[in-house]
Order: sequence, then C-alpha cells, then structure tokens
Amino acid sequence: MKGLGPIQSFRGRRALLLHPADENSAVLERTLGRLGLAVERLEPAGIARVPESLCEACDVLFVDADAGGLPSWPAEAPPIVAVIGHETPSRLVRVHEMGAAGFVMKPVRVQGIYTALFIAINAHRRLQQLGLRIAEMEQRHAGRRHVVKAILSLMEQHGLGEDEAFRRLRRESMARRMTIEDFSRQQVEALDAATRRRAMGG
Amino acid sequence: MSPEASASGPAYHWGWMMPSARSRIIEVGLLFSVSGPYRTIGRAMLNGALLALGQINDDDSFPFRLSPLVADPGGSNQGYAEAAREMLAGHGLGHVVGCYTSSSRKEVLPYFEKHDALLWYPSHYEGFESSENVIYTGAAPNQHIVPLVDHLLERCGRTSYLIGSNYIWAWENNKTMREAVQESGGQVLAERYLPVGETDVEGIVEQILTTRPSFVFNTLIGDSAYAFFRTLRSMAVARGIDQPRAIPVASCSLAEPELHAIGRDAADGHISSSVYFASLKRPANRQFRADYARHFPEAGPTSADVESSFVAVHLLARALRRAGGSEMEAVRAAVVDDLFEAPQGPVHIDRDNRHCWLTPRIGVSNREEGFDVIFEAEGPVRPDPYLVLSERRTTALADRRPRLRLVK
Repeated sequence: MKGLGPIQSFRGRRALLLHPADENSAVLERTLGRLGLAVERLEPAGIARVPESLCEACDVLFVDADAGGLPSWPAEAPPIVAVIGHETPSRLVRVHEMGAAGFVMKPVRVQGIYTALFIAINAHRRLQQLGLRIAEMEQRHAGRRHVVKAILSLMEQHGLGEDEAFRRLRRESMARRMTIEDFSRQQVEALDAATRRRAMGG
Repeated sequence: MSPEASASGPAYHWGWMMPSARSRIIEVGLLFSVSGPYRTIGRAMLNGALLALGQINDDDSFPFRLSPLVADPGGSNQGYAEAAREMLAGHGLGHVVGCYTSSSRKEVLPYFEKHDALLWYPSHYEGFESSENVIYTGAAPNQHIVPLVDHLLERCGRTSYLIGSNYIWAWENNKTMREAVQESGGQVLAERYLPVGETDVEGIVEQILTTRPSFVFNTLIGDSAYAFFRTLRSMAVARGIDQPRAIPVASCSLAEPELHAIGRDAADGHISSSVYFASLKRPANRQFRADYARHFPEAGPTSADVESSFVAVHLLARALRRAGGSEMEAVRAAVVDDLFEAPQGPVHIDRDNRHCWLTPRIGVSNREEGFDVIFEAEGPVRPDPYLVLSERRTTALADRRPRLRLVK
C-alpha cells in the first residue's frame, strides 16, 4: 500500500460516457481519446440499467448530472466523473449520491478533463485502499476479544505475566504464519471445546 | 413533445426599427421563443420588451435609439445557441434581453462570456447562479418559492403532492418544498415529473384525487400545466369535489395570460407567488396596463413575464445612458443601484449579485382571468439567489426574510 504513486497515464484504459450526444460529449470523446482511452457512449435516456458487463469492462464512468432520468448501475462501479451543468443543490445531492470522485463543468472544455480523470481515478483508488484497510481493521478489532481470552488463559494455566503471555502468543502465531487474532481464536476455540467435553464427561 | 421536437428549425424573424432623428442607434438582441411549448410566455416577454423599447425611443432624454434584433429559438436549446452566436459573433451585439428556461440560459452563457456581452435575463428562476455576464431582473427563489412555502404550510396544510416538468426549475423548487414540508412535520405524498410539453395527465390527476393532499405544488410549464389544470378541474367536478378549496394548486410561475390558456372553466382558485400581478393598484401599473393594451390589443392582460422584460429593457436603456456607451463593464457598473419605478413598485439591481430587488406577493386567480392579491411584502426584498440570507425558519435571520402582510 505504501509507496504506490498516483496513476498518471491512462493509456489503454476504457471510459464509458453516460451522456447524450452533444457538444459536451463530443469534447469528452475527443479529449479522452487523445489521452489514450478507448471511449464508448451510452444514451442515458435509452436504458433502465447499465449492463454489468459494460460497467465491469470500463475504468471510468462519465455521467451527465443534468439528465432528466438516469439508468442505475452496479454498486461496484468504476470511478465516476460527474458532468455538471446546473450547479444547484438538487443536482449536487445527486452527484454526491452517485459517489462521484471528480467532475467537469459544462460547457465541457478540453482543459480540465485530464485533471478530472486524474483526480477521480486516484481518489477512487485511495478510497478502495482505505476500504480494504478498514475491512482489515474491523476483522482485527473483532479478533481482539479472542486475543484477550487467549492471554488470560495463558496467564492462568502457565502462571505467566501479561507481557510474557502476549509475547508467547505472538511467537506461536508467527511460527504458524497466522495473524495473532486468528491464532488466538483457534486456541480459544480448542480450549472451549475441551472444556465442553470435560463438562459432558467425555 | 420535447422542446427540440417542437421547433421547426431555428426560425428567425429579424426586424429593424425605422431610422430616426436621433443619430445614434444601439442594436439590442431580443431572444424569446414565440413558438414551441412555452410560446405564450415567450410572446408576453417579447411584448414587454418591445413596449419598453418604444417608450425609450419616444423619450428625448435618451441620446440614442434602440434597434431590436429579434430571434425566435422555438423553445429549442439548439435554437438559442444558434441565435446567440448569430447575435454576438455575427452582429457584434453587446446586450441581449431574453431566455426563459434555465437550460436556455445555460446554453447561451458561454457565448456571452466569450464575446464580453451582457444577457438581460427577465425570468424568475431557481437561483444558484450569479454570472458576471447576466443581469437578472426576474424573481430569485427567496422572492417566489420561500414566501409561497410559508403561505402553504400556514394556510393550506402539511401534506403535499409535487408535480413538475422534468427539468431544473421543477427539481430545484421541489427540493425546497420537500425540505420545508418535512421540516414542518408534514408529508410529501408523491413527486412526479412529466417531459416538457407532455399533456397526458389523467393518471396523475387520478392519483391526486385519490390521495387527497392538502395542496398540490405545481412546477409544470406551458402546455403541460394548462392540460393539468383543466383535467384536474373537470375530473374533480365529475366527482363533486370543490377542487380550489379541497385541493388547491400552488405555482411559482402561473400568470395572467396562462389563465386564458387554461380556459375559463378551470382558471379560478389557483394560488400563485409572483412579484407582479396585473391587478396591482399603483399609478405606474395603471399606465403600464393602458400602454400595453394600446400597443398589443390582442395580447390580453399584462403579467409578471411582460413586466420583467419591460423592466429589463428600461434598466438596460438607463444604464446605457449613465454609462455613455454600450461597453459591458461600464454598463454593468451603471445599472447597479439605479432605482426604477416599475409597474410592481420601485426596483433596483443589487450591487453584489446583479439580481433585482422585487416585491413578493401571493395571489389567487379569479374567474376574470386575473389574480386577487392576498399577501404582499412591505417593500422590495433583497434578492438571495443562493438562499443564504433567507434560511427558512431561522429566527436569527428572520428579519431578512420577506414579511408578507394581509392585503384584505
């Protein structure tokens, strides 16, 4: 995760425009093409939902924020750049709700498209990395209970101090190439099972 | 019918005034859709501008004459763009009075920026803009929707049904209305949108008559609005429902010429928030009505749309005179704080946001195709296009909000 610089070249990537054919979409298509992207355009009024396959295949989605009706798209969407004409609360709420990571204002000019693309793709990547990190933290957080239990049982059974018990746990888990949380859970579960067997007279 | 479909190509009706004794001629563009789905309003706006133009040209205190260059974009955004390009790039005009919908305004704005020209925009609109290239003479949201919201919630009830034409005017006003209704503990029963020009409204009317909201908030424009008013009234009558009392319809844009378009049977009992009604009893308005009837005997009554483009042309001419030329920055500086006695009362352009100080009012339509004014603000209210000064229900700022007083 560390040491990853921002993506700076977009050559070979694919952009999907959810935008009616007009001067704005023409400027987008031309400019994205020059930046090395393959561009496809979809009429927002024509469909109820952007096909999964199309959404999965593209690296960035440009959406007309002013369109009267917009199709829905899969939750696992690529980075979104909103194309904004009306800078008004109702439209901005919509831009926010679609999770736009960047925007360009209408009338769309060549200048600003590379910036929007750069920021959206990299902000989206940063968000995804943060999301992964949060998931990892949550998992660890959930495992904390087991670590505490494992430490307590080591202290109790082997008469160890708290620090010594933690060091032992860490050493053992590293030897097994497991996280301390997973190893602790395994130990606690084994211990619980043994306790249950004894209680049942097994 | 979409605005695009209704335009049979951009139809231009270029017209020049007669040459005059006053040697200096300043050409002014008039950009109004007198064909297409909102032609009734476009016609009213063009008439108001032409009336003011004639008065300027008859008035020797102006050292120039205004010559109108008129174009009809037919309600199509493409038509607006082409006409604006023609006026600014082709004819080199510095000032254009026109546009009605926000999408038409957004469409032409880049040309005004490119050519250092000023658009004198005479329509009430949803706000959230303050372009350096626009003078806004129509009502800002704190001058139309905010007073209406207060009136409806206090007088009509808390369950609402929102219906509008599918574009920014409706989206934005409905957002304001929805938030106010929810804040007051009320309920929005539905929020429905029709394409501009759509007249198939029976399904929606059916739902309104079944769900019985305490009021309907209407942001339909043009033909869709007229069809809606007629259908709602006739279906209500068929069921013995006294619609104006049981389910009043409130709008921020309903004006006198539209009552005529709705037709006598369905025109009465509708609530409208506006800075101008033809029935205002002011000397300047009496004169305005008489002049309008003389110049446009077929056009019917005056309205907010007639008045705001009339005001725009007067403010433009006065600023041209003060600036001593038509250069954009000089004119823009000259128009600020120039107090003009408009038919609605005194108005002037705000120094900060170049919108107009106007007097909010609420009227109820009658059977004579006019409005009875039931509330009005004590005086001109400062325009607040971003709704930052007139936060609803914020007591600390209450004194900045238009206070409406009972008229009768």
